[in-house]
Amino acid sequence: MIKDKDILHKLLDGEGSPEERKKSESQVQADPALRKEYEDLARSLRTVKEGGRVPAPAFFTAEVMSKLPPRRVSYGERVREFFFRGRILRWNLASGLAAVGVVIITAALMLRLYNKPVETSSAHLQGESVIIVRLNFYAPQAARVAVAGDFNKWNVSANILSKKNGGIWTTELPLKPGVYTYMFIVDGKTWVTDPRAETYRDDGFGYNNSVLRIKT
Amino acid sequence: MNDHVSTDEYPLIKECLSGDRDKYAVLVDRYKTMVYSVAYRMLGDAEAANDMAQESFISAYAGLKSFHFGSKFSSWLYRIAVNKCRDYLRGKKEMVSLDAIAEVSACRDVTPEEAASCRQTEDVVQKALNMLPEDYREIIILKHIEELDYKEIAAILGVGVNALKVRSHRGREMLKKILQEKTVAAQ
Repeated sequence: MIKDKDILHKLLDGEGSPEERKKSESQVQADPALRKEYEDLARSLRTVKEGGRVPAPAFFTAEVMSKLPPRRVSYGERVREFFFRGRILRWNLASGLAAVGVVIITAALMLRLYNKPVETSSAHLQGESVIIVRLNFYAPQAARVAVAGDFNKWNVSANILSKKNGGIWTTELPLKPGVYTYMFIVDGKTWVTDPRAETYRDDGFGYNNSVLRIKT
Repeated sequence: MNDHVSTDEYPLIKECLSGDRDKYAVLVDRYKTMVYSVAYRMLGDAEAANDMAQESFISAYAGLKSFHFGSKFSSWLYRIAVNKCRDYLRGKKEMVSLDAIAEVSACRDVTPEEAASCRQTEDVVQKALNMLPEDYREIIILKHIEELDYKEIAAILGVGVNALKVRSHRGREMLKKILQEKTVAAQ
């Protein structure tokens, strides 16, 4: 009997040469008890297979990304960071040829490193201490992504992100130096912490707000 | 569902390793159904499955450096997910088995009307899987839901192919018995 059962499982796994399988099949067909056993086994496996996979919850990816450990900042990034912040400082003090020189060099660097649109620079020049911050958020399945924070009084329809290639949503915010907390709102209902935020702050409701720090 | 044989995620993994976190989101998105589904089928609880699936990806990210290029990324993820589920079940052993008993009997001692609605909503497959011992459940999920071959499952679970077959045969016999009982109880 044990040997007979082995035959059944080999058949279920499609193992053995075609000749062997044919032989086993006729052996099973010839024995009513064995045939019933085989059919029952095959049926239960079919049931499991039909049950199949279960889809992951919505925003699974965004949640995983928001929980990844903070990344280490490389030397290269620190250098970029220095220029980025340095630029704001220079513009605040902009009062001479030297400063203009720095602006030109750093703007050129920024264009190369960040591929930033040129109009961003002009925005900097208009409001002296206002800088444009670009927020990116990955959500390929979302139909609408907004950002709300203390910069727009947590208004969920004030800043809607636009969708770019590869499921990336993006927006640019003109902000004065300071510390801001914010979250993304996906499809008008799900609040998601920015996985790329510098730091996080407990919002008192069991979620972490993303924190954006803009230095003078 | 054995469709991730290609190595086209290698460049993505390399970019993750060089610090590009956004690329990891692409990997998570690609494998979330696989990992979540295994966790759900193993644990029979959506919340626990979500936690364990998320933890699997977080651990995978932290341990990405130890991923061996040349092997299948999906197998590596399966192993992490299975281990997370094992750890979870080990911690919750008593609670889980009590829950399973309560759920099984919940559909039996009720009025015919209640039983009818109970039958409609109950996930027969999941309840049957919940009743299988952990090691049988693992092999049934990987073999018959994920549709992996014995060789790959052997690599994921770190068990020899022959031992795995014995386990699979016993698991199937037990599953058959459970599903038959369930059908009888539902009639």
